[in-house]
Amino acid sequence: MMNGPTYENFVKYLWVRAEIYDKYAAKLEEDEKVLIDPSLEGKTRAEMGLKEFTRTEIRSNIMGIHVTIIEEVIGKACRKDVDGAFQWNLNKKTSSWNAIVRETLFNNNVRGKYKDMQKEQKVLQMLLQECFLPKGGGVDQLSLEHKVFLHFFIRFEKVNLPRYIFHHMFWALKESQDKEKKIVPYGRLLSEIFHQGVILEALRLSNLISDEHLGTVVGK
Amino acid sequence: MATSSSSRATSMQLDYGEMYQIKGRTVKMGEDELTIQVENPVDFISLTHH
Repeated sequence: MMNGPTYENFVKYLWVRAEIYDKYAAKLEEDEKVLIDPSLEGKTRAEMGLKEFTRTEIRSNIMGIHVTIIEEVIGKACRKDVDGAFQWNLNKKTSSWNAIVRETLFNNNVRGKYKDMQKEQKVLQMLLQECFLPKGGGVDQLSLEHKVFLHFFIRFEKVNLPRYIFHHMFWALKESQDKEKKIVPYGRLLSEIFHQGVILEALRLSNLISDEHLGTVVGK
Repeated sequence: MATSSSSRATSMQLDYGEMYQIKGRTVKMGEDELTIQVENPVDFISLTHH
């Protein structure tokens, strides 16, 4: 998957139109319904004519074709089960993971800095930051979530990679929407999702796209 | 930005997604301002040298 093309223009098109559908967005849907028809106050989502909220999604489109990104779609694209260890939204001050990662990554060194890591662990950290959870910035800036991910790696524990990628993509999208961060991660993965979702084929059959439109980049 | 609801769908979406209304842009920046990060295989040979 890593060596395939990246359709940069389509990734950008998707990103600027991507919408996060989470519990908060689902609640807004309900509030909107009640605003239009106050008699719906206190009713269930089904009674409001809304589908049950079952999962968080990233929703967007490519030239009118719906693209829904969920953990299972990511799992299919990178051929991994949505299964395994996962830790997110950890409190870096109070989490019990602090002591665990200090032992695994920093040989119980209290500072817990990148330079305290062994060579092999630094390589794994580079792998993590280049491929799995890319966020820009220096490699020495490790969040607790990154450290726990590395801990799972080093201890050969199965990691729920699709869930990690989905949450990281979700975070990066929020950063773009709220803080105007310009970095779009997972260019190659998103391109693979377009490919597997037959989006490109549908557009090609309609004579709507060429490599120039796609902004195809290979071997980057 | 105008909104529309499209009936076209991909197999990816048919497998996993539900229909929803297509909305406008959600990011204020222009597409040209964005930088795409591409997942890179780690160059272990280069790493060995360093």
